[in-house]
Amino acid sequence: MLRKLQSLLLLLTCAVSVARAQGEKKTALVKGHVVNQATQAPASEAPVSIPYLKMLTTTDGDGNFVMSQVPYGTHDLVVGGNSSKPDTVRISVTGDVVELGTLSLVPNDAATSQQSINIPTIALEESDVSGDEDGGKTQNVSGLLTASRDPFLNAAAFIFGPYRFQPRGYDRNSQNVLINGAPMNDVETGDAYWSQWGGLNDVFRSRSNTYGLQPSEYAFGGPNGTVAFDATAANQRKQTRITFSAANRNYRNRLMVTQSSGLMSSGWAYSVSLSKRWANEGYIDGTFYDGYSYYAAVSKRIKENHTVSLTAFGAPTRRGKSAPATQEAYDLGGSNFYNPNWGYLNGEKRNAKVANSHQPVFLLNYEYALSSKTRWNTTFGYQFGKNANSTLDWYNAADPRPDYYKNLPSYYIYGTNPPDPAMAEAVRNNLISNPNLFQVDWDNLYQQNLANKEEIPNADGSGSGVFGRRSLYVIGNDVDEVKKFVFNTNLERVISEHTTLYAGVSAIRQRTESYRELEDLMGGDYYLNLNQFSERDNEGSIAAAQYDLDHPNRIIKEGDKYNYDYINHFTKAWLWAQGTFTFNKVDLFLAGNFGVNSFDREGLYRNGVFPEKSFGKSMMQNFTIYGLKGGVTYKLSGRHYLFLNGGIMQDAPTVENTFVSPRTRNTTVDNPTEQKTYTAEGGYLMKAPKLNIRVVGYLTDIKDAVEKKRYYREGTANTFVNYMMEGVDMRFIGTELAADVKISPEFSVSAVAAIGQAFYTNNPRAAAYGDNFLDTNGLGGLLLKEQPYMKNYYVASGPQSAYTAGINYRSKHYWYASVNFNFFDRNYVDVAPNRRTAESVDGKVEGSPEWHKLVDQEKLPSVFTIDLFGGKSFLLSKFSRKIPRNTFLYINAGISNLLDKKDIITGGFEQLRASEVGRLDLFPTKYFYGYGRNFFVNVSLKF
Amino acid sequence: MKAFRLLLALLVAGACFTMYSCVKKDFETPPDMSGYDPKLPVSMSIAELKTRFTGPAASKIDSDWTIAGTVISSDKSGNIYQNLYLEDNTGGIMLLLAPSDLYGRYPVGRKIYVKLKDLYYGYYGKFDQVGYGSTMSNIPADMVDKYVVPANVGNPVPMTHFDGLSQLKAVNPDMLGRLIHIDNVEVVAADTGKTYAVDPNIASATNINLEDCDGNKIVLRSSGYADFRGVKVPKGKGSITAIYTCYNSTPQLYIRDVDDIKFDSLRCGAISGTVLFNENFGSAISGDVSANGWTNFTQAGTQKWKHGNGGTAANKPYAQVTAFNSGQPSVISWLISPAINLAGSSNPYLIFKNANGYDKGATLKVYVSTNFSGDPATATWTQLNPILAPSTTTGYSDFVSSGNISLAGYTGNVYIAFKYEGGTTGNLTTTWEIDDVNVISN
Repeated sequence: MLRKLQSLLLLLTCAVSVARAQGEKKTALVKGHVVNQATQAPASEAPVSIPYLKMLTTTDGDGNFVMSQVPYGTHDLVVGGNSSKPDTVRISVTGDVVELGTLSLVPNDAATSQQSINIPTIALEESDVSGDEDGGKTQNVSGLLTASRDPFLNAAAFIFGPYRFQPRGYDRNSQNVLINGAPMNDVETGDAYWSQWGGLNDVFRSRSNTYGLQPSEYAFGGPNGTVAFDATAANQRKQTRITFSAANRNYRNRLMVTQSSGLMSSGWAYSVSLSKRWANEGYIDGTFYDGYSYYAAVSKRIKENHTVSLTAFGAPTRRGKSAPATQEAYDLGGSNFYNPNWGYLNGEKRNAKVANSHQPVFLLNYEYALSSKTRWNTTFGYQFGKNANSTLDWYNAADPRPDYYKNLPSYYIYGTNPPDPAMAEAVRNNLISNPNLFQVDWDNLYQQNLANKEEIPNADGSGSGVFGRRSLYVIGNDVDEVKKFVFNTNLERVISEHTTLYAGVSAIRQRTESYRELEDLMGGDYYLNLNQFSERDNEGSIAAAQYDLDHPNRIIKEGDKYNYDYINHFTKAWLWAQGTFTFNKVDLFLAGNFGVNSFDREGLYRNGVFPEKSFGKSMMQNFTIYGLKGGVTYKLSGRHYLFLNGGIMQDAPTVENTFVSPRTRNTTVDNPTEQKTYTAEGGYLMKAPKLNIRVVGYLTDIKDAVEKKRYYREGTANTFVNYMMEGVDMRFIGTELAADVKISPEFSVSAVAAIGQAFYTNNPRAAAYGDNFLDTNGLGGLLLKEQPYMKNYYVASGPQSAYTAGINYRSKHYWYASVNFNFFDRNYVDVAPNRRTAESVDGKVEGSPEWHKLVDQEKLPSVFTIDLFGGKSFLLSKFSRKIPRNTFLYINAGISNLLDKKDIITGGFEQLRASEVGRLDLFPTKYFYGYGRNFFVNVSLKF
Repeated sequence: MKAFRLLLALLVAGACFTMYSCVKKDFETPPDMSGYDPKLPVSMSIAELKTRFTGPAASKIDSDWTIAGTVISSDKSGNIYQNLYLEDNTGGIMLLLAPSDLYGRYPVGRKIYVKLKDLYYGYYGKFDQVGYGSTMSNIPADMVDKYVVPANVGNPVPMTHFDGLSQLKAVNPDMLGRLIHIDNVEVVAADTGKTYAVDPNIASATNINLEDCDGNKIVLRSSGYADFRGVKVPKGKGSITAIYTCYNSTPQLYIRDVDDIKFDSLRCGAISGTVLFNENFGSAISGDVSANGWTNFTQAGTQKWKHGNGGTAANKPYAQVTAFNSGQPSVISWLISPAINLAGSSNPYLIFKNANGYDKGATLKVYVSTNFSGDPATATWTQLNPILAPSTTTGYSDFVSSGNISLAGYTGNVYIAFKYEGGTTGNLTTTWEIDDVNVISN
């Protein structure tokens, strides 16, 4: 299909040069000829559409098509669809007749690219909202990467993605995600949560991707581009599709049903999609999956140039999570997929950490083509719902986590004085011979609750007591409850054959209430809203132990809020404008945005540790956001392109990086400030019939970032600590290489490499804020300020060297297969900054083994893997006249990590707890492991 | 066709959402086992177990022995940590366990069985305990269930009652490891300003001395990690519930939490009411007692009552008299108070402290008179009946309180006399000491 693209571009260049002299016209006639790629025969009745314009035609018996009244500008033209694999090509309409020449079609084969195989299984899965409290992100692949026709991006998404590869090392909030024009990035974190439309793959197929600094038609874009979905009913192809999938990843089964009417002659279109994904146990022990998704949309086109669409979707999903662990725990647990989160309860596996989210989205769109040259698109959006993550909570009770460090053999070596190797050995043997001891002991926790009958004097501050079973252990949910309004309006106008201008306004108002909710009393009758850590640290102070001084000793029942409760109010609004300029040899663009991002924190609890700083509204935090980017593409010829883009951007910090501990107080970091990004990219692209080459380099500097680490600090102060690094500077530099060679009509080989460096470029200042000590000095719990030496440490951003080489075979008989050989290297663990301070290395001889142990950054082992993909499609109507025409059956399958390597470390982080007392061996690095051999199979029926 | 599509889609969609109750959602609460007693066969009582070992080295328990008992300790406050005490009606024993917050699984009153095989029986400071390995370590968290089997909760907690410390001030082997309840004790005066324990960065545990009204003492030991360590010890007198342990020859008490101490009565010898007369014999430590209107009269011999501060453990000066080293066959020495006016008083009483040393039979008698006028021989004396310190033949006794000696019925002026009778005849050379003479009106 790349061949098609390049031939098309070639043709377009010609068309443009022909059309140039003809001056401005309102609309153009676009002509083309479609052939079957395998047979080179003309393809009849093939749909050709420009989804953005809602224009559709079909080829005639000779494979020709004509599309009239196509406005000037750049458009995505989709060839094929119903009975063929849809293929998107970008066309530039700058003359009154645009001759596209011959386009080829891969017939009857709608699902044989890696893109369409993998979207269902990878790209739209969960992306964990944030790490667990111990700092880790879970196994799930970020939705950052999306399918693309570009071989580099394809590899990045589907080959590299599962190994925590991050394009250019950027964070996940570096890409803008839009649905029907509405910005979907969370205003609080900047991340887009793809799980909110997980399972709706059929109706979220249509998307426009830009990578890096490329201009988008829909938004200014993030440092890593834009993904714009068009999920309106009018844009869905007419079809009924039933898909069943089997896999052994985070779910094992999936069923999807989609029915779309397409745009009917009445001007109406509707589309409905439902899906269910489930697993009693995913690849990792104790991880269940229970996800539903729904989608319903209608569109009405009025008088050819008005379209109103209403779209609603949601994906209520519950799933059990896994957790990172130390290598010692993995070894004791018997595999690198040991999961400490679960244990047997009543003979079944119960997971203590369950993610449960449902945040439905409603979008109302109005598209108006004022003229053939001017389009106006306006969207109102509303989203609400909860995102909850459960965790075991306990009060004055033994730590229930099975891999708690005192339960491990190493505790008897590194945690006791003198070391007791015999005891360590006994503990090890006991755990190995009784694996259930190394999982959550639910029954014990329940029995403790059931037996703990206690009278609470002055319960609820009422003066009267309450008697009953006081739970020592409970399940609590950390809940974010969102109400969000989004407004977006975009205007696009073709000024001339060379110039198109875009402008838009976006605004978001969001209210997020965050609190902990008691989900399960686990056999007890009540729980108390008390802070065991501050009770321990401030002995004798009854007040300090109160999470809510205004409701002391409050009795908590299931469904009640406790521990913390606060609201963030956000207002974010911005303008953007962009001009694209197309000439014979040179393309230019310039884009800018400007706006504000303001938020505050409103505490609903008067916390006993911070009575003066916790309740009520904080100061409004106001930030200016802006961006400016531009670029030039020089077309050496139709086959060779050089491009250079650059940009500067400024973004607000997140709530978490502004408030040192939003759960407890209004205290902010010293100097809340915007994060700045300075970025440039450039490269060479070659698009020849049998050879595609991409050579790109990039350099991005980020200044004034904030990084937060949270950990339990021991020593002179035992407390949870928020370790805030301010003024963090980072550099991302590297190269992206891709080559695709067609050896024969059936065989092609490709090679892709992403080699980068992501590292810190300065020594930021750091401050540690304790959460459990009375705020006696009025500094909001500030414990210490120190200077971590971070310069030249790598930013933990997945493998910084990733390579793949693939062989693809595409048969004329509607099947294909490919094999990829992959290599990952230079993946570094996330360093603990408090280990790199003058205090920490004090007394250690520089260069000595213990010094190295303290300050060296661990490079994770390199990894070699093999992946296989294959698929075949059947036109069922061929077999029986009773089967409706154009009924297709598609089968796709893939095997990742064919060699079944089970020792692939995809990431890790140093525990900050170790650094305070130099007990590195007691609190060693925790790791994430990638799956061993894993597979998916899709069977899809379309008619 | 269209209808067919729709129907099929709906059918599959319906199936999709109903065909599996695929993933379980809720878990039931397991049955409450807090009333269940597995009734394991018990091999022996705790007292018997203790007789099987002599120490001092730790011994491995090779036999398949099981003991049972009721939990008497709680680590909720953090005062007791990684120790679990259980007691049957014969004795108590301490287990060494690694987990913290044992009170959740083993609350006070829970019956537990301990399967002793492969554990070790040993001693720390001559205090018996059961632990893991020859080093007497704590049983690791994940192994505790192998040895300790919880049974039903809510059993009556065994407790032995004492009044005062006389049976406890020296190590009482029968009581070791058991929960005891002691009436009539208080914190010694020197410790009453203190908190239970100092900061753990200074000392991991702190001793507070308790005494009964007879001056018998015992150590209350509290951990710096106890959540009540910053609480001030109570000043009054009352009862304490504690676990009785020892460190070598020193008995030690451990409370579970501060509500194990109920010192809410008046201290030993404390005064309630109006003080009509008070004499603490000042700060002089030598010389004859003469001030404040006291009459220091020798009826026989020349041994006057003198100031002193040696002898007894307490360093506070007092009045004393002795025939020792006097060379006088008969020593009769009076110490007579000035007039004490009882007019308008209600149920007045006398209370004082006394002690003796190297008792050889000399006596101390206490009298009251209404008509003393300088010569005891011409006055009318009524003998009173105070509690006197136990006879101490070697060294000196502690000061004991006389108890409240009623002077009801007396009005007007009275005189209190302390009369010593001894002498070298018969070698009656006991030393008697008195202090803190008070007359109180209720």
